Amino acid sequence: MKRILSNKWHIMVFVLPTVLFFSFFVIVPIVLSAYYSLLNWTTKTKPTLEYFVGFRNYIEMFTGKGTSFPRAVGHSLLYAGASVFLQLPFSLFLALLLAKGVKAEGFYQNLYFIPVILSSVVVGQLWRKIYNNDYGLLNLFLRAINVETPKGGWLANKGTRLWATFVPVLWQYVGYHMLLMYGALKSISPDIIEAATVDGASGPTMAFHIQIPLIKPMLKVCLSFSLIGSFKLYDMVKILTDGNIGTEVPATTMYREMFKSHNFGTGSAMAMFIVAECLLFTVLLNALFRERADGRTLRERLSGLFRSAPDALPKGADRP
Amino acid sequence: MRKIVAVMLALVLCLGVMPAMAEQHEEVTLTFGSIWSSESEATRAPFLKTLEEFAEAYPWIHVEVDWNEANAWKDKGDTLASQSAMPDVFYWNAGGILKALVDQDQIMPLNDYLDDETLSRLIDGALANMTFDGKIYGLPYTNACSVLYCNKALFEANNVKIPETWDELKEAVEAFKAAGVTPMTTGGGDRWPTNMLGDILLLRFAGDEVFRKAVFKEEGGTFMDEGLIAGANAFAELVEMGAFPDDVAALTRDESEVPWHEGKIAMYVMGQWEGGNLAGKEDFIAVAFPAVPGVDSANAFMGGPAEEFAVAAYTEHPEEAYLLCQFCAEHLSKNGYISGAGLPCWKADFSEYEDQIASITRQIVALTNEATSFLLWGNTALEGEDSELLMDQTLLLLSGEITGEQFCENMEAIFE
Amino acid sequence: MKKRTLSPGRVAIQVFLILWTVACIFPLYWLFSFSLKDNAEIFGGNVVGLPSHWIWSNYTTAWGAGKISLYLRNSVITTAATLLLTLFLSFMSSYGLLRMRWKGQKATMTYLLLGLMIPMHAALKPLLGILMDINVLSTHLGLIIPYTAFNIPMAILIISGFIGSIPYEMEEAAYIDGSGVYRTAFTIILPMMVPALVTAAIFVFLQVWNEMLMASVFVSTDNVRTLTVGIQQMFGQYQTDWGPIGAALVISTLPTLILYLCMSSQVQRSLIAGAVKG
Repeated sequence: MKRILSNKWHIMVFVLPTVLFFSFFVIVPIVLSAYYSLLNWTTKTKPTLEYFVGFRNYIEMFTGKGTSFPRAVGHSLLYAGASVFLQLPFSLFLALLLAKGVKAEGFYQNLYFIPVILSSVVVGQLWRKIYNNDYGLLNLFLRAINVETPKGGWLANKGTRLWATFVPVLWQYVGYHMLLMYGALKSISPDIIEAATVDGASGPTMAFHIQIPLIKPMLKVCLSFSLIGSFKLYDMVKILTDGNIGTEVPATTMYREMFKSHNFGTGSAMAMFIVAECLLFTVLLNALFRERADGRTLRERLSGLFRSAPDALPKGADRP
Repeated sequence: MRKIVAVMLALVLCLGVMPAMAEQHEEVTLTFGSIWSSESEATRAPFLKTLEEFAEAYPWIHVEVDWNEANAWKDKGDTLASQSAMPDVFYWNAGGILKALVDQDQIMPLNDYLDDETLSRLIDGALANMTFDGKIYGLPYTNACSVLYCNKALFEANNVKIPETWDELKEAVEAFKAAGVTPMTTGGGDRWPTNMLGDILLLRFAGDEVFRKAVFKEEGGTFMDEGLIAGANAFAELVEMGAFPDDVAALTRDESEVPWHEGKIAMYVMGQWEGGNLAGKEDFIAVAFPAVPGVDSANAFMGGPAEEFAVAAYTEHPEEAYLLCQFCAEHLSKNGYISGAGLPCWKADFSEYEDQIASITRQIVALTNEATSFLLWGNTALEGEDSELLMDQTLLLLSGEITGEQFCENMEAIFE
Repeated sequence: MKKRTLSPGRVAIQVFLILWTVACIFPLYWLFSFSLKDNAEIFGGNVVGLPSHWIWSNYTTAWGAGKISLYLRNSVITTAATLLLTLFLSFMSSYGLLRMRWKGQKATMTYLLLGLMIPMHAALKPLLGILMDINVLSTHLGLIIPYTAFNIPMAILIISGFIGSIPYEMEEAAYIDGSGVYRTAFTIILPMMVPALVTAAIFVFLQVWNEMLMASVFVSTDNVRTLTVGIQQMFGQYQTDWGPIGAALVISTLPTLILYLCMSSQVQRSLIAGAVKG
């Protein structure tokens, strides 16, 4: 077996096509973008080394007159924070509730995923109607309970527009994170839960000491998706506000810089910044989780538990 | 024998000529980048008619139309242009947006193909926004201008005078506010509709010459001009007065127009194409935007031929592409006017179509006949990031976040 | 465990869950009623209610004049081909990366997963040039290729997570029986991977089916154009009928919805089954 699985030819056949395909259509374009980001490429110039300007575009996008990129980056950080501290805990809460075995568990689980499968156009248009100043659901409700509605409408008011843009995205992907977490929770052996119950663990104790530690790898996946997603955020912002002033995110600003202002060099620099930002956060996340997870995968830890269960459970579950 | 020789000779001649004829009418397929993808587009039907007429006139030239939504086409066109992959003939905007493509060598100059007779059929100054360094980069199919549309029924019902001066406009706004009618609207979220309103205010308060120098960044051009500041402040004043729906800065153009078409809004500044949507609705009229006493700009207009058909610089069939471009421009000018979708920019005799032309369109033509000047819309005249800045700053004016002075100060950045 | 009493806590939980359910399925109701209204109702006082006149002609308008039937076909072709290609490549490489032994396994995995961090907007311009050079712009391949490339990392992430759960004993037995590497991978491992492939398929499907940016830039003919962009085009330059857009949105949402409702139970079953097998 070892001989077969170490056969160079086999490895090539299995892995090489994917690596080549991926390299050619994902990595090469990114490398080209990186190259463009060092050029002063506008409608008046060509993407050649003649217009090499070093890191000028990178400086310009942060300090250039009237640039909105720093603001856009700030917005994406805010969104990332909202995603990590509001969306994920809420998803986890839902997943824990469902995994506990409430009535009609599968029914809920199915329905909660529905917003995820809807296209941004549908969700964006829906929320535009919800936010509408005159007949939107939100304002109808607020007026009914005599609360003042924001002047200028939710999507234009200085104080509300950013959050009004974020809420639909946060709402839409709750089901996505919940599904992942719920799946992980369900893959915890019933024996473990049973044993913990016998030992008197229930509710929050069970959640914090047994379930959450056991699904940590999945939580990491959720965290990285939501962080990276926050820097890639585009479709919904485009549909809700077109990334107009006060709601810009890096991708919308980059798009305008590239395709509206025709500053291809600076636009590429913004694109590279988004890529770098995503990489940085992934590295940080990995460092954070490596420390706690002890280098073992969910599967290894689970199977380890199986062999020693149930007697090793109460103290072994959260501290491997 | 002689007969036979003659027949044979004739046959040979025929055979000899036939390939030549076939060569002359070699089947050619051209691609056409068009923007009227939606059934509800006013220009779609006349454009389809134009294509039919073309197919009849030049049966050997086949046209493959790529239908796009206008905004999507601008994005896509930019991307295609950066790869030199524009269709043989395509719709494009004139002015700065066109200049950007010209600078990238994407567009074929038409000077070699245009003869004087053809040129003489165009209205005066029609090519101003599509000529750079004496080279003509496209042909216009419509004249354009923005006007003030008024819902006459609402004015009568509330006993308000159709405004002819800036002060009367403010009075009308007050009167409608008092009557609980939204005085004006614009699609702030899409930005460009708001610029139509901003442009005409700047034009009225500053005059054609000053505003022209500013948006074309000509020698001596500046936004720090008393007239322009007054115009921007006038915009801010309208906002302050509550002339617009509360959430106007968030509305898309589609959304903002729904209550307008339902007759719930009194006034709307839009391009002449809106006349096509209002044709047959007797409640609506088109008037020149109110004048500003003391400024000689009452009959100055924003607009002029600003949309065109262009030929890609690298088309494989330049002659056929020119034929298609010229034919469509001239015929769409006529068909579009007859159907109420646009104003003509090629001279033609329209007397036999008088009955077919909507009264609102005739009103607009009457207005433009009095025009003293046409100035390209600011966001079209300016290029790239300058255009973006103008749209952003106008949106800030609309959402009440900056004053007229700040607007002009911020716009001054385009001269740096 | 099985016997439940009706405690206030349980009632509160159910009320909470039901409220969230309403929040999640309201869009479907809204979309459906929206698709049967006219502009006046969509933008009038009747946003929430059922339409006063059910304008079914919105659907015929969208289907015929709006060319939704054509766009639907294109979306199906593009999505199906992307799914097949992505799953095939991801399964092959996941197997090679997790089960085979060679130097650089980890580095290669990291390299491929880098793709998760790359927003495709960042690659848009150069990618367009590459697709043009290999002459696939405005063909189905012009979308299938970039879609596959950008979805491979995600699919690998999901599939490789599951491959680890299959005990080595399965392969050992197969190899001892003299089965070759391809037969083992495709007849022993692959069938066991169905739940993972389904999960990956669902995620990839959602990415591809609703993708807007590449679909609008890389495609310029109706014969290839997909649903989302087709619908986007219905927002006219000058005046928009919203009813048929609503109908088009329903038509584009239905396949996703039906597919999900059928597959979701399988996803759950497979997740639970995986846990039980340990």
